[in-house]
Amino acid sequence: MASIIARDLGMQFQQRQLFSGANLHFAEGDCIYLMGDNGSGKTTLMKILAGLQTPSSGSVSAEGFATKKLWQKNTLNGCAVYLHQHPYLYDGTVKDNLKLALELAPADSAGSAIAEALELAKLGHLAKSQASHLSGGERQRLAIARAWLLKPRLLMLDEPVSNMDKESRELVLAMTARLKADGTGLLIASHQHGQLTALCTSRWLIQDGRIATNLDIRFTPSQETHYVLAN
Amino acid sequence: MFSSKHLLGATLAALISITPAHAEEVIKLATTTSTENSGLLKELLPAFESLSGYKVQVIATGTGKALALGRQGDVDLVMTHAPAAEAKFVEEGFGSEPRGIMENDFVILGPQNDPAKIKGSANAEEAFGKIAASGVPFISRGDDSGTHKKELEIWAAAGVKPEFKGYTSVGQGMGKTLLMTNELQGYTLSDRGTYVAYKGKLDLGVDFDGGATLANPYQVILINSAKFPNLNHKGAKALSDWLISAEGQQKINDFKVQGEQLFKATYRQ
Amino acid sequence: MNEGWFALIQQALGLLFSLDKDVWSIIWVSFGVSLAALLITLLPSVLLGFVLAFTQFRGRNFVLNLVQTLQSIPTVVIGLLVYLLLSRMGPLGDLRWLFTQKGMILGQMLICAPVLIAMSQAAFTSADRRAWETALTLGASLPRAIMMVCRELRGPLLLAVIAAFSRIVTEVGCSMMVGGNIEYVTRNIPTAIALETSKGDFAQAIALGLVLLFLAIIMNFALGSLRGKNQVRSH
Repeated sequence: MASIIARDLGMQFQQRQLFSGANLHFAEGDCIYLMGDNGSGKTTLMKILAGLQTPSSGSVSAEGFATKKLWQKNTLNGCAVYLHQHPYLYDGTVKDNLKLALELAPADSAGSAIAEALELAKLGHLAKSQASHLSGGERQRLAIARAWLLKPRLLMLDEPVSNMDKESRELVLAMTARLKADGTGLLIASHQHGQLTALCTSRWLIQDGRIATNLDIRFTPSQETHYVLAN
Repeated sequence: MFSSKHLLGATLAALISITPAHAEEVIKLATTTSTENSGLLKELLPAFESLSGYKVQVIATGTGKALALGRQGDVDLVMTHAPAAEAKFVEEGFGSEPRGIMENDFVILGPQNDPAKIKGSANAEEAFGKIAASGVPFISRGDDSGTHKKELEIWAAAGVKPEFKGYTSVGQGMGKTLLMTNELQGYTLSDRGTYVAYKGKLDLGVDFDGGATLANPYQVILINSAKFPNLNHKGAKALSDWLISAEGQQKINDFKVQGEQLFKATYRQ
Repeated sequence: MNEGWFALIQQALGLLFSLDKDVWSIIWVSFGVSLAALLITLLPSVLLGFVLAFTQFRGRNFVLNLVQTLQSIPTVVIGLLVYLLLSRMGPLGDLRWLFTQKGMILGQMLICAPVLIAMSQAAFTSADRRAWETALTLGASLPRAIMMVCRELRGPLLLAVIAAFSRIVTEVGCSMMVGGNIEYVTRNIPTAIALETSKGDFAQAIALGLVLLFLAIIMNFALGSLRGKNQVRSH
């Protein structure tokens, strides 16, 4: 089973300690709700797990992934796929962005049809539009569809539904549910509990320089209020 | 009592009397790099300037451009060394009173070991023929200068088209051409003056010299005053007259670079 | 005098459109040498620009300052340097590259590399870091990810290429010194213009000047339309 394992992970920027001593395990089949205040280090943690940032201390390793291609920047890249809160779409049409994913898909995972991805994200009518002309919600849907084409074993979503219209929010929810059903391990960062985070079966909390895992999934009313307020 | 008007007038008069008449007394001379680079003009002009009160500005360039400047009325007189082009210049009415004032000679320079074996050739044409046949590079000024024109004359006389394999046309002044010839270890045609001035920097020797073909006569030519009335014709005439005077001719003969006389005064009435 | 001007320009156009052998040889040398210099330097320079923009390493500031300095050195000084290197007495004299196209290419490479490095570094610095991170996390290999970022920056990178090319194709000092202005071999547009002007033969100088002018116009229009397409993108 593919998983990302972090041992004694710590991260600090200059004098500011985000977290330290974290032991984390993120595997296929997991659906984890990553909680924490704005600026607590959710994005940084996800980027470290994706191999896009180097932790100040500790180590991250990937297990159960196919052997890496030559010329990889970091062996973690492409294991747990990270989606930015504001996804980056490459210059070109919606379809171009999906094609790109197929070109990058590892050889052992058969590329799904672009049509299916467009259907999933309900972007079929925009297939030939420039990606730069999409709305925020459409951009997020396209980014998830692009990641979905890669058939990732692990996927990390950074605040996927913040400030999004209802239609897009529901579509993202459906896409995420589909990914979960496919067995993709999910790590969803949000400072707000909602329908999306309700899919999760466990949660991590970044607070006071620690990352708490193995927390009860049920929320106490006070906690819920706290996270709603944060938006 | 002086009125302020008087005072102003007196001051102006005083100013004018002490202002040298330079503005009108500049003579613009277009000439070839060979006379400037060799240092001849530095020897001649100060003597003329102190005698006449004129100031001579020298534009040193190739013969082609020097004559072009004359044609456009940009200079007051020219001093060049390309008889055919000069004759045309006078014939077309741009120049007047051409005077042959001096000559120096051309030399064929080449590598010290003379790979084309031109030493002992009967004349310059034969030497050129041997160079063309040898495959050793021949570096041509290619800049329409008097030296370049002389070179083309010799090729024509030798019956060789200057398009053979080693022919390298560089379009540079004499000094730069000598340095390039040195780098490429080829042959070139140079005026003796520039060669002597550059001798210390070159690993080249005179492989052929002498003969009528290699003589290099210089003429000084005034600009037609009917065509360009606004030039300093008086000054130009004064310079031309001085150059053919006994003093001017003597100075030309006395001019030496590294102990060698470079120019022979040749003016004949 | 006005008539003279008109006649000269007419003559110049005549030279260009009659495909005068000498004029076209000069144009050919100019473009051949400058394109070769550009193509050889392009990839390493852009990669160095990328490294300077995206990574921190010891000596990074030194390299940046060096590149900036080289950019502002007059081309004749580069010409002098290359001349001394390649002259018979110089350390690379045995190559016999002085007064050859290879020598000119070497000189022009030294002139265009700093422009390319500095401008591509600026382009990469202005890049959206998410383009790079997204490429990597989607599993792109290092060269592929760099290519994807370059594609996003093709406007500013093309600008760098055009700036570098126009700097070397119009450069006269280094070409004259190192190339030597040899007819049909190292005589390019700028050295030919210098020569024809000194010969007083302005028609050919104007013809060649027109070629550079046309080139500048085409490049500027290409850049203009590029800028038009590259609108500011929202995220």
